[in-house]
Amino acid sequence: MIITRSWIKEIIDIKNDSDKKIEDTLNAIGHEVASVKKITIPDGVVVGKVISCEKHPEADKLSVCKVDIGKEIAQIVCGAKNVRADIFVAVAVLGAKLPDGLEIKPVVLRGVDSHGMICSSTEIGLPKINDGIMILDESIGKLKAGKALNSYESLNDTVIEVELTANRGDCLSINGICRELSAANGYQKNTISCDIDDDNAKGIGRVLQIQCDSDVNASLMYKVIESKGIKSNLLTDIRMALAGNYKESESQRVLAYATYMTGVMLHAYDFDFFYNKDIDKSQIKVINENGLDKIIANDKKVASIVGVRHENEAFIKPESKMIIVEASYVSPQKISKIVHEEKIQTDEQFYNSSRGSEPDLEMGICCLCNTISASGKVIFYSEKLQHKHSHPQISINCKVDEINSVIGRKFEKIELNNILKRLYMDVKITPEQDTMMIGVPAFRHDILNMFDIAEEVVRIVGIDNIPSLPLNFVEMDTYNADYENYKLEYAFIQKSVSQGFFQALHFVFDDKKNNKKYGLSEVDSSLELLNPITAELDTLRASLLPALLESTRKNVYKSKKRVALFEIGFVFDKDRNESKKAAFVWCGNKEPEDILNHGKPENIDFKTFVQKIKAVLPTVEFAMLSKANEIVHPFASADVVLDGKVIGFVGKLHPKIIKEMDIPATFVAEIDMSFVKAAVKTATKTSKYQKSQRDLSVIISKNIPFSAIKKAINLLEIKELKDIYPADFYSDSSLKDNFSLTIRYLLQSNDDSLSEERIGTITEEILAVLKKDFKAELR
Amino acid sequence: MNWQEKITQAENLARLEEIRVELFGKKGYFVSLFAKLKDIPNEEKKDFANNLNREKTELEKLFEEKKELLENEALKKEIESEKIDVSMFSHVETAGAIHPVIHTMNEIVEFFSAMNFSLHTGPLVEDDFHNFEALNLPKFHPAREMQDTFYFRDEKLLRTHTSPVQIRSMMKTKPPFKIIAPGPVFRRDYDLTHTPMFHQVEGLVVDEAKKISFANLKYILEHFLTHFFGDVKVRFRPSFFPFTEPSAEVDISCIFCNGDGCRVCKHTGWLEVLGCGMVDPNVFKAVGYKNVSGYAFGLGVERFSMLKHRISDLRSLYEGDLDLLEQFR
Repeated sequence: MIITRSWIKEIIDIKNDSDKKIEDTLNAIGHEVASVKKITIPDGVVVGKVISCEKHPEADKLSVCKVDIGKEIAQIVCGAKNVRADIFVAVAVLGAKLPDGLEIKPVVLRGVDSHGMICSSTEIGLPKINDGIMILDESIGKLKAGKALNSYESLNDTVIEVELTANRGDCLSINGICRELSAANGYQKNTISCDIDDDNAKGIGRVLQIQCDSDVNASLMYKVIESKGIKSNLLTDIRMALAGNYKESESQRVLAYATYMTGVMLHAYDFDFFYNKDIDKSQIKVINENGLDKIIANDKKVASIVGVRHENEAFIKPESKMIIVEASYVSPQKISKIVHEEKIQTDEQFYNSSRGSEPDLEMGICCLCNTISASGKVIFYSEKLQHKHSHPQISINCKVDEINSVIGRKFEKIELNNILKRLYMDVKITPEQDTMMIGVPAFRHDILNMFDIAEEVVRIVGIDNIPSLPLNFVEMDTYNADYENYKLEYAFIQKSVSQGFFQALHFVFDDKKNNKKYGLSEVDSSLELLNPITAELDTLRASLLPALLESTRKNVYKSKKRVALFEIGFVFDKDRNESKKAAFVWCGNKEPEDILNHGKPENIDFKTFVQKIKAVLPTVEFAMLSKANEIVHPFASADVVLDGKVIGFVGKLHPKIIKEMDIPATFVAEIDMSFVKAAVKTATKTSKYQKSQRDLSVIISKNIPFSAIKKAINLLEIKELKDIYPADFYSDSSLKDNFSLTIRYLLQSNDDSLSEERIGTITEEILAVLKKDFKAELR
Repeated sequence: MNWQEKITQAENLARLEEIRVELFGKKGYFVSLFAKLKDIPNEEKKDFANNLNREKTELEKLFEEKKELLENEALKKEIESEKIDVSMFSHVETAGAIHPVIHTMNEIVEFFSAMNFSLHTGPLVEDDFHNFEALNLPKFHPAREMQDTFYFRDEKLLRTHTSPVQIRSMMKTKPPFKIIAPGPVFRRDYDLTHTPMFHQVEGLVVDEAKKISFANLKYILEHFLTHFFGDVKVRFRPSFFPFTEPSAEVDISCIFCNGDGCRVCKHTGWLEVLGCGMVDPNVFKAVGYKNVSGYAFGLGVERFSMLKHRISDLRSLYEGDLDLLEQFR
């Protein structure tokens, strides 16, 4: 909502209060000021009267004008089509500097001297209102040749943009904002009234009849005008352009202006649209159909639906000689609900009417008639025809201490009374002395209960004048499962970071093509997004990896040699159930370049990557990949196993993807966070005796995974066996499908030092099972 | 050269060791002299032995002193030889970094946890009731236009704010309570200053009727904002949210220009940072609460993070760009 200083001054007396004061007041009472701009028409731009205007002898498109600029008659060459004699224009005289930096100097245009420039609105810092030059009229004040244009208050204005909240339909007008400013700062406020009826004018009843069904919800008021069209003027044009509501049609512009000024919904119809030859009058019928009020002509043609839309056919036409103007009001709640439920087509008026337009129809009609009569001779038929629907007045009973307890400050009854009266509320204090009965004015659709009243008090008093008080609160148990998970996740993040990964965030949306490409599950089509924001984000992601890989690719493209990213976030399955996953990507160098690796660190490898994953999740183990997927290398990847359950995978990125993305060696992992829980560690008794380490080298088939060997040995349940792991391997062509594997195991007893004999027995046992289960041979 | 001179002039530990052998070794000077003792007449034996012992003690002392000196010199040399240019290693960074938005969210969560708020979470895929209806946003309410929503084919939606967590929490707990709900939210908006996903932290405090006032809300938010941003002024402006009444938007004095007016604060001197208010009675009604009072607030984590860490491009937060992320190590 745009207001200007000169505009509000037509309704309220802001005395000499500064623009800053107005801005601060609006902010303080809940109307956020988005911007404040001062229009400054440069010095040296003056009113000029075009005395004569002739064609340029050498150029078709130019005119040579003699312009009275007060102290002299200047010859000015002008290129605008709309220049003509006997009009007032804005002239930039010699020496004037225009906002775009142009300095006016004497020039010769195709052999003709030109001493000045006739300006368009945009050339002097005003908004665009037409093609060509700006033609002045007295709507801005008395015109006198030579008078500086920036001495006209309505042109030398301050434009304030207010961001209205959705509940304040009553402030969608200059009058509405003025009401607020007047309540806050006590400004004297004028009422908009009119005195346009000529005593000799014919009564409206002679030409118009309205017929209203009893179930009509709207209030309506009509006036008939005899006029050839409706004319606008310069001030209206400039203001509507500033407000961003400039209409091409002059009549629409004037209607929009009066609505903007008062907040009343206004329309103008062609008189003939409603003409009923049987009674030789126009006849307007108003009927209620499915809760909405329709304005129809005698032949049942619909002219408009009140507050919803206006039919083009019924608009006034350029040739209309008689015009019917209408002011209307309908309860915003009623039409919003029906329009939404029935999906009824609306036009721009619905924005105002659904937020609550102004119910004071008289004010709207008056403002419109004033504006029309200011720009031309028209005849108004006397009186008005109207249908008054009684909209129930909201009345709120509340106790003073209720209001005080919401706000947290003690107000006296009399203070509250004064504040509410400034807001046009009708306050009665009931015999029980602390109860107030508050009548809400009809234009305040947003006030329905005691809390709304408290808000009004807060607005007018100012939040700065409300104390800050600590809350006395009963001590509560705040620890819960959500908090525990949150802390666990944050610790997980910290561990990942310590391993060199950078946390990334991506949207939960993904491209359906990625699901296909990576072989991921797809959300069932009946549960799919209805209105995705772009084609690339048209579904919910099933994995964190596609976006992480894409970011990896971009970083590589930007010459990053080591890209280590991780993300924790929600993914969705085919039933659109959400679950939290963590994914890791490491691409390129495994460590920073430094002096010790001679600036050429090696690429990431399986061992380095899984060590990092192990550091984040120390209790997981790696097993041969049980289910191949499209993301990782089928033979250089592993299941991540926790307590016997597969919770994710880790491995080398599939060579196909590496090639396609054109990135160096890359390893990835994705883990289901729902299995990552804070596990209680239990300690076993430690031994005081030395550990013995033994190596056993066997020739064994390459196809036997070490996990199987370990499992078989563990099944022996040797209580002295503390750890077992592969220490070395060797293979050559003579071994064919076998290789030599060195298994290292640590032995320790809790009770005594292990004898060589016992160690020998254990080694024999281990060797026996390897021979039996895997056909291994001692090397 | 006598023995004293020999020891003093030994140039290194190896030479000193040679001298030690010559002097104190099994075939050394003293062993040979003590061997002569048996040939010395008895009356002279005592003096001879005493002199020899004195000489030995003196030489031993001299030897030990020289040895320590040489050892120290050798150690010094060794230490000097191990000199490295430590400045060559300043750039060797192996740590990653927490994402600034998550870091900021945690800072906020930690503050309110310390203020005895309990943390609650909720689903991302929500229904109309929890996301809108129960929050006093009936279907035809113009305020729904404030939030452009992602819908699904089965009429579910992606939550547009963390407020549905309030509704879920209220429906399963009884007051009094103080909760915060952090997490991602979604709006169908994508331009320079909007991303379709961002993060919010929502706060809600409920107790019996008349116990909680706007003054209490003002207190906690002033405390929080000065904790988070440091020495800033806090301004409350009345505003409108369907789920609170009275409602306010909260500004801090611009941290870029100290309130003098700059490009970031659009020359107003203020930065809008959060929305808050007293819980609307219709919200309590929707969850079946009677005779209660409460306040609620909500903030955008990205905005807090961007302001605090001077991040200029919102969208860059979602691009996994290491040039940005590496700055948060």
